[in-house]
Amino acid sequence: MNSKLNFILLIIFAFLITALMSHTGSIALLAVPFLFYIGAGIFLSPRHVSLSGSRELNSFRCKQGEPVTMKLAIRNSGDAIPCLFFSDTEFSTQTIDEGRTTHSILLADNQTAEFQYTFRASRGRYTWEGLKLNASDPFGLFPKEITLSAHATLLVLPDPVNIRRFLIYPGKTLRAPGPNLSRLPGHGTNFWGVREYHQGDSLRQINWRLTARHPQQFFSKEFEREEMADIGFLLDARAATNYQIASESLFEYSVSATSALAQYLLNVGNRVSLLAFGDHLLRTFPGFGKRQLVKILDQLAACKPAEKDTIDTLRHIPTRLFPSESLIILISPLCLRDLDAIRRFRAEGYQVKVISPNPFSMFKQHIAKSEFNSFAMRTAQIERELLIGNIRQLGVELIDWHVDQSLENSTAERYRR
Amino acid sequence: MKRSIQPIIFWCMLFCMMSFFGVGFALTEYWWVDLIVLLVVAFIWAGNHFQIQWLGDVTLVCFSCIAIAGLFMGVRSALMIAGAACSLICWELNRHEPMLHNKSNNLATFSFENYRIKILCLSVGTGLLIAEISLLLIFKLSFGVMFLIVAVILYSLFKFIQLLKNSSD
Repeated sequence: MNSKLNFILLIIFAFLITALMSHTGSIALLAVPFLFYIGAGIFLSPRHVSLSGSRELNSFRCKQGEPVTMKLAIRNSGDAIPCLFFSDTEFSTQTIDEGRTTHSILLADNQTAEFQYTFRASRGRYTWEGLKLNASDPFGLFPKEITLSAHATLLVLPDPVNIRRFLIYPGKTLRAPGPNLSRLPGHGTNFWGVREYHQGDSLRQINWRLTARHPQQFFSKEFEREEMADIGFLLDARAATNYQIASESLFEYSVSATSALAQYLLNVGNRVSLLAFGDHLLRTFPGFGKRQLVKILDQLAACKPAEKDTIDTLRHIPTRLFPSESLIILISPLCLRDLDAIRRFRAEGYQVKVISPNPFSMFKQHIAKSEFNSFAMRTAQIERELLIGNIRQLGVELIDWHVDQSLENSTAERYRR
Repeated sequence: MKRSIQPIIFWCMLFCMMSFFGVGFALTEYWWVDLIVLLVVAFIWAGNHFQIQWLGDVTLVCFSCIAIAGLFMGVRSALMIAGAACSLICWELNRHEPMLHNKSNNLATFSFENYRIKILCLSVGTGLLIAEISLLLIFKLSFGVMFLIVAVILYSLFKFIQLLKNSSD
């Protein structure tokens, strides 16, 4: 029995008790409309409820801010339901554009009700497990809670950021054609040197000037071989380092940078892997092409900053996930404890590149100006500068990314220096 | 676009309730009770405007008390019963108002709303009619018989609801 029915029964009881106590029959008659009200509820409440539901999204994967349509269908194969109330799960990062998630309807037997609503959502993985319904009489006095299985998952990919150029100089390359100079002679466009003509060399390769100077001898031009590189992304998903102020989160910048760089590096033809570490590890093993990009973007869509610090330092990262001597791009706001881990990466022969979203560029828009705050900011900035200096001394290329600027501008600035 | 008839019914019922109580107390020259009725109506408006559900429940209790008080004060029973019935309709319509704020304007919701209002008016109206007719019947019952009847009604109601609940589980 719900509170509404209890309340009405209490009033009826009060009328009848007062009538008995005062010997006034007309007070008892006050209860009659109330009794008929409950009677109608009892008479019309559905006895046999048999419902089935389904939901359908117009896409399984979408970009952030793109409208998505959810279609819901409820079929009644039992008695007519005078009041069917349902409310679909609404996430805090979801904005409804059109339609509603809550409905109260009258559903006749063998009737199907269809609804749809359009929404936009922020990056993330959204899962709708079921549909919670409440079938009752028209007044909601005898409700029956029903949960229908109607599963749907939506992946909202990170904000698409275009990067036109991102220079990398991998120390070791794979023996497969790609975009990176390998410091080895072979097929390519960059001039490498001249050598004696070998049988089978193309006529196009012959250096005619040198051949003219040395009669009876032929010389061939050599070019620098362009090869594919192994690049591993290490995304820091620790809540302790990824600060959040108001609705702005440093982690979102890290994710958008990772997605943009992965997209760029895969497009130019490298082999890319991803490892996000927080309370657990999210990983995508090395691969190339569009399918790999989809895998990485799916992982990034579901990635959340971890509240629990299970893996609180980079020291616990299984470096075996990355092929030896490959290039590791660490995307992290950094903390003091990370220095040892970066040192270990270098010692194990990895080439490390760090992209560090600068928290202070985000703070300065939100923190009130006061003497205490400016002193604290300066102290923290000095600490960060020292850490950056120490990391650079290890031979690590570090890009201090001011998040109020685009990543492309920050990298270009670094190369200008 | 179709428009809901719920607000029209609500305001009509509120007006009827005020009239029944107001006329009833005015006829017996208890004018000050009319002021209390107006004050409780203000509570309904506040509960509706600020979406406070418990305020609606309080108003139904208040109107029930006013009806009982009116019967003790010698106000015409027919008017008090009608006033209490109208207050029940107002309370029910007011209680569903937040749910209807979130509704979509589709046909299924409109048909649900109209059906609910129809059933509400029919059930409470029938109850009111029977109660008003019962006023014309005069028969004397001893306290013991009356107590027995009330106990039997309440017990049957309780058992019936229990049975319904068990069958639904």
